[in-house]
Amino acid sequence: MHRILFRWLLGAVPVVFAVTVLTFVLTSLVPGDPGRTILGANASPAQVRALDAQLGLDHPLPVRYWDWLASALHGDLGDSVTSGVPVSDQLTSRLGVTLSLIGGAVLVAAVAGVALGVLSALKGGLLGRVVDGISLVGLAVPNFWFGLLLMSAFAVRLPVFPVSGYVPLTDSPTQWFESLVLPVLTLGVPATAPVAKQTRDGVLDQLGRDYVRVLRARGVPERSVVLRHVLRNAAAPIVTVLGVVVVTLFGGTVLAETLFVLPGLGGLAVTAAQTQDIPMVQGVALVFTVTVTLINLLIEVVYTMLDPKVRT
Amino acid sequence: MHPLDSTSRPAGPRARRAARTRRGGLVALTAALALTLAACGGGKGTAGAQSTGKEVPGGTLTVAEQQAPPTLDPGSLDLGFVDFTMLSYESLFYLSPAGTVQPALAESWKYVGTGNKELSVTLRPGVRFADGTGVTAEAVKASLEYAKKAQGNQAHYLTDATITATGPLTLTIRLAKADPILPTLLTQSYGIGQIISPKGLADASSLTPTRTSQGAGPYIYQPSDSVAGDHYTYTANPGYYDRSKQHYKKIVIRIVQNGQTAVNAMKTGQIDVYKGDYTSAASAKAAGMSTVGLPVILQGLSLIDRAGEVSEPLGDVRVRQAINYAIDRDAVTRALLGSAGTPTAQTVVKGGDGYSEEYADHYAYNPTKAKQLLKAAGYPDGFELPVLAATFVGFDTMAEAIAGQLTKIGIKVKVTAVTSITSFVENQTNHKYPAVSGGFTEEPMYLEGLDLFMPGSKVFNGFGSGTPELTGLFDKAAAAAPAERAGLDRQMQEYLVKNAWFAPVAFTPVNYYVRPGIGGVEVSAGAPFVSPLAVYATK
Repeated sequence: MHRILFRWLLGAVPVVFAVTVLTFVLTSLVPGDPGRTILGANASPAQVRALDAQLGLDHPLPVRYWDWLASALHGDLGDSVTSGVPVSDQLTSRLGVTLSLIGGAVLVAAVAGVALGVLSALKGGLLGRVVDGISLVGLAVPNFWFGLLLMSAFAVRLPVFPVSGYVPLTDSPTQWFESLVLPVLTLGVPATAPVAKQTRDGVLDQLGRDYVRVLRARGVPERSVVLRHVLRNAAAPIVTVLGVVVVTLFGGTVLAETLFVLPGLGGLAVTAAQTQDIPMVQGVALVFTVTVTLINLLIEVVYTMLDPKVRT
Repeated sequence: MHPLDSTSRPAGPRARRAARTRRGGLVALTAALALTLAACGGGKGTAGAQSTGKEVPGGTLTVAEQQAPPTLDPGSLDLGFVDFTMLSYESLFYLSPAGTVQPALAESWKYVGTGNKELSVTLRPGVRFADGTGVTAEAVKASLEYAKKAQGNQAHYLTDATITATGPLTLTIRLAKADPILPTLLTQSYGIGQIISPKGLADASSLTPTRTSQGAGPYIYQPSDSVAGDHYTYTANPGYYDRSKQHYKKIVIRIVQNGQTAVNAMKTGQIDVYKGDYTSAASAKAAGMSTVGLPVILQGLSLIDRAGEVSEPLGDVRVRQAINYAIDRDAVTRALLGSAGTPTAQTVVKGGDGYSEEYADHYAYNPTKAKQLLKAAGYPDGFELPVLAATFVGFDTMAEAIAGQLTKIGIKVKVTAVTSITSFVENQTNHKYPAVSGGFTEEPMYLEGLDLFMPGSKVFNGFGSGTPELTGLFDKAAAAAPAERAGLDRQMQEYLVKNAWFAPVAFTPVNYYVRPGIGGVEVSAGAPFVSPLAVYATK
């Protein structure tokens, strides 16, 4: 376990560092500047320059990055350039939304994906083709359109869930759940496809192995063969696929957040990038990167638990 | 005056297609392109939603807008975001939906003498800020001086103002240059008129979405019940001086960028009023919502190099007139904007301050005449005209459409479309582009002078062009009494049309979509934007 942690740290630290540098440089290359955002179009270029100077934006890029890094290492992510609000305040208030969204979507993708995959592997034939079909459609259908469809079906025609908005878990667990159902499905259902496909292929592969024949010959019940042995052996690549799915979901949150008006990190990243609010963009990028590397660690750990061979 | 086309008709398929590509852009326009509210003295007619019911006390009003404000400081906030501060910062005056200036913190006011250079204001006695301190002449003076210094995009309306507290509740505002509409500029529709308490001014950098508001408005901003960028909650101020103006116990402004989501949320009652663009008109109408809006966003060409500094031909008035004659406004408007667009040759809307009935059709489409004018000016074979455009709000599409029209008379338009507001603004003022395809929210002539066509206009008159005749008219109108001013404003507009300072094409609306049962959502040429303050619940 120590070795895994060490290896992870060795990889994660440079990645986080590189991402912060890249984000900083790329954001500052985006046309536009915060002074203009704050003052509006009627301000003269001279006024904008003066405000930019007041905000410290006239310093060279490496100096600004160094300042940011030095404070970040002390736990201070700075204040938003445009609103003056501390970046960490915004991040903490929005992290819960994004994590609920991604957590929910992963849960949907994992449970539905594995169930569909196993079913189609066992029943084969028509169901297999249906799963394949659904997978293809899931990959092809734009999330946006799917989200709108869900919204008009389950929020407008059949007003079961709210059209928009987010209720924090601490305010009302029921309303929190209701506000998340449609966005989670919007993200999670299409993500089911790759998981289902991997599960089906993995299970089929395992079912053809000798040990399965031996187990069956010894009279082990089919359910036990599939759930305790086959699925466990097929699990490692499924976990890998799930890990990849989680990472791609981070991009998808922007869309689900915009469509269902959830105050998450995705929307914050977009607005911050548009207004060249570098401290805010840095903060979001940092949170995303750290989360992704943590997920990678989690996958490694699960992998080790599932496959004794990795441990040696 | 008749209510203008409220564009409740669905947009044509082409318009919808064009609109889809510019959804983000309109937001940019409202946020950044000097979304200055029009406030003419002439507009009396209003266009409003069907509010047949009687007013009843309201619980919660939920308004949705497309773009979140960067800060909540009335002094530095862009005009596009005044809704977010007007609820909690009472202004000196109130601009009614009909466009008339009414008392608010100021109980009475008058211009001293003639010439519109000194405004004397008497404050309402006994009014307190939400923190309990009194609204005194000194406090108002401090707030106005802060706004002047804060360099927001309306600060220039106060640059030459000297504010003096003449008594505990009386003050005078003296101006170096005449301003006939100063009271309008100090209504809730402009951030500079929203008064911040001395306590708020002491720590102005804290006027952010995470802190409570520091005003004397009918509502108090509740940071604990708000999430910046998502929703902003305001609750009724128990100490407010006039309970009858608190139509609701609570007002929530939500940020909803997607028009379809907004319409769906209206259907299920999550949103009462949605300030959107015309692209949502069809679906909102299908959902049973009423549409209120005036076409106030001007699109077209601004022929800014009027002295022929970088494009010699533009220095000749005949060439500029030829450009105006060569544009088939009806065809371009129909093609790009469908029924949402209103063709125009003037920079103000029909019925608005300065509008000239006589010049409405001054540049009826006439390519033959355009060619004759070009020939007379010495350009029978046309010339090359560089035009600055931007990739948002369809400015580039408009530029291409105009280019297509001008090719027919031999003018080869070379469009450069930039991608950011910053670069768009810089290039308007760096004497590189003789013409700009852009947008401008129409205003009373006095403000258009300051922001659009007088030499001092910092952005939209990039070459600083001016003529003694126009400046003379402007100064005269600025100092004139209201009755005389209307005629002078019209003469100014006629000057701009005759001398072809612009080649306007069309106006597009800012629309409000309203749920049944909501009253007070009304607009007029004098107040084309709805104040959430005016909205009320009906039975």
